Amino acid sequence: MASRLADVLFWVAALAILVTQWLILRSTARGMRVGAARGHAVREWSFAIGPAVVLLVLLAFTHRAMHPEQVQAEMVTPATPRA
Amino acid sequence: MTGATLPPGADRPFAADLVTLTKPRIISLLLVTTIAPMFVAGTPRWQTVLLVAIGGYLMAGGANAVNMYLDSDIDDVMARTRLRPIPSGRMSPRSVIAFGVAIATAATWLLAHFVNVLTATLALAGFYFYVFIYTRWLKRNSPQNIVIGGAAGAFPPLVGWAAVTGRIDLASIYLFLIVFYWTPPHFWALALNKQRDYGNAGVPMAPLVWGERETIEQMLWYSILLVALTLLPACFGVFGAFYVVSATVLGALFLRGAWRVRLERDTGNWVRASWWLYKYSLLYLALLFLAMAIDRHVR
Repeated sequence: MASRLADVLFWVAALAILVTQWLILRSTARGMRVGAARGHAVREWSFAIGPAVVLLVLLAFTHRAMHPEQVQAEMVTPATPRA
Repeated sequence: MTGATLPPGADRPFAADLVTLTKPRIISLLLVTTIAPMFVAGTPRWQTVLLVAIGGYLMAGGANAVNMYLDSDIDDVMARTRLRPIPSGRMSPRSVIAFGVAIATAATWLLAHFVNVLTATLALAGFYFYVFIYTRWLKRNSPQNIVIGGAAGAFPPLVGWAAVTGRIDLASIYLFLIVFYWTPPHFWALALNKQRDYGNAGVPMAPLVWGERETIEQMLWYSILLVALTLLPACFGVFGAFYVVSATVLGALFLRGAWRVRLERDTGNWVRASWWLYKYSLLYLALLFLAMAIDRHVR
């Protein structure tokens, strides 16, 4: 896939993922306020937040995989000497 | 006539009950998500494909049999599970768990000996996750049981990938997450229609705990997230145009189904729409993984 098109697809998909993940967390919070769902709040929050964190890490790794040349350049560029 | 009451389905052959314990219909989809990734990862030998299919069936079948042992108390009060071998009295709980552990052990040996240790380890991890994390812990304790528990059904792509490459990488993690995020809208579409069953059994499915409104809302958000996720592997060159077009078309139909359930939510007439989404989601996952395998071989 052409690099430009891949970048567009990545950012559109990443935005959709971030927005829907936030909506899922918001809906989970509403669901937990319902009487039947009360209790074990920490556990339920960790179940909701855990996959969101995994997705964030995945997006970061995906961006690195799309631009290996940037990662390579960062690795070979010597640190700026201090004055 | 003796007047003695025979258990339902007592005339069923014993072998048929053993097959029932493995839940063959569910495994058929698991095998698609196991084998298709093998053709994405490379060009596997047919012997490897056969061994992974047999090992995968036995491991998943073992997990399903142990699940039927652990859930036999609630299977008895749910209409759709009442005729399973234990609640109907055709098999003893002890023989069911022995069968489940035996075939899972055979699968571990088969995969470790003839494929590789990583493949066997991942398959066994899926077994343990399904039995202990999902069945024993989450299923009866959290409305997010199938969100986190969905990871158990997401191991097969990792198994197939590891069988060909001997490792796990970014592309295989995407396949894992696609199944993981597919599970909530798929399973909640079923749970919406089986609320009475789950309520009788005391299983805290999301529609019973959060209510139908929030569950249907989340089904839509998870569906959008899923479709976005399916497109990302194409960004770093794992898949090409055939897959992108297939995933877009299949995803659009999935979103349409989830949107129809959402539209019908306020009228209360979501039964047909959620049944459609449930059935389509099965087809969706199979076709999506098939498109992955085809894409790698038409590029």
